[in-house]
Amino acid sequence: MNTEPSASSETTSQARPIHQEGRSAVDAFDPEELFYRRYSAVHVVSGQIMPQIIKFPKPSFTRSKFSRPEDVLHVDCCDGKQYVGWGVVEGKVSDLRVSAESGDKRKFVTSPRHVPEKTCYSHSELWCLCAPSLEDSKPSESAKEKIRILLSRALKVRIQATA
Amino acid sequence: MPAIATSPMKTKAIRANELVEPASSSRKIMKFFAELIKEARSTSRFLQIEKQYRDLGAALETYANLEDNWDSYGADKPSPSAIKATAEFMEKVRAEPFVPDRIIPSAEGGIAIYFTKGPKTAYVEYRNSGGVILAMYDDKNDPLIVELAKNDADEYRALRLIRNYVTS
Repeated sequence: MNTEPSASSETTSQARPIHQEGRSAVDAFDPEELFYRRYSAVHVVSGQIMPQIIKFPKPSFTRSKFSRPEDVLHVDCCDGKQYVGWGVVEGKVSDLRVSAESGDKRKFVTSPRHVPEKTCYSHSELWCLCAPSLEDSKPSESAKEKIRILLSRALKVRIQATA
Repeated sequence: MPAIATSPMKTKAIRANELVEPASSSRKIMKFFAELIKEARSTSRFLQIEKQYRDLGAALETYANLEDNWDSYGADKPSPSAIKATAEFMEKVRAEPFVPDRIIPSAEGGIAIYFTKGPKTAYVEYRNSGGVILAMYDDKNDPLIVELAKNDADEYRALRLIRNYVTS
């Protein structure tokens, strides 16, 4: 959980992530495409991702179609902050489509959305849909917890955290 | 160097003792060491548990000092009530006696207490919202989720469920 003051992409040697620069969202996702998310060491135990890494609503990721794994650690994709020693987890889009039923039999399904940000074009989110709505819905607490566990199972470490 | 004179009678007495006593004294010595080893083992287990609880307490203190956005994705810091509830639950667990493996801050806002054995994992998560969730899962089957209330009855029920799950 080691953060340092912001450094703009112009002052770092790392190639910057793709900026939006007028591009619109691309809502098609290849099932093999990867989603990336940064993490601190507290959320990975013996290589296993803990469900506590996931926060609702709309957990954020970056997508591999428009980014490299390390881009999710770049200041341009971190609201201008630098996260020293943090790692990256990844999961296949097809594996991140999970579902859970609430006590009242409503079925919640996660679905990827491309939500570009000005300095982080690849920024994406996982929405929680409850048919017939195509908007993000709030799942019951038990459905949400099940989804967190299923998502954490679908993630694996891509870049090891050191902090 | 002068020779040391010894009485033949004395030497004989010592030899006689050696012949008469060894079996009984060996048994006593073996019993003594067996008890010492048993005690050391139990003391060591006790010390291990004490150390584990000290480590968990230190981790909880660290998480109590997190700031908002500690996960870089906008997570709220664990609230004082979630920290207090976690500490109280740990006291219940300790009295059982039972030992959690770790505690982890939750991006949902709160703290989770973990119990693991082999592929089986169980956790109780105290949320800032006041909600309490029990989850039990392995790497294959559907996770089991139970929504709890923050009260003694539900927490002891959670402990029973966790113990049954991880030891079955």
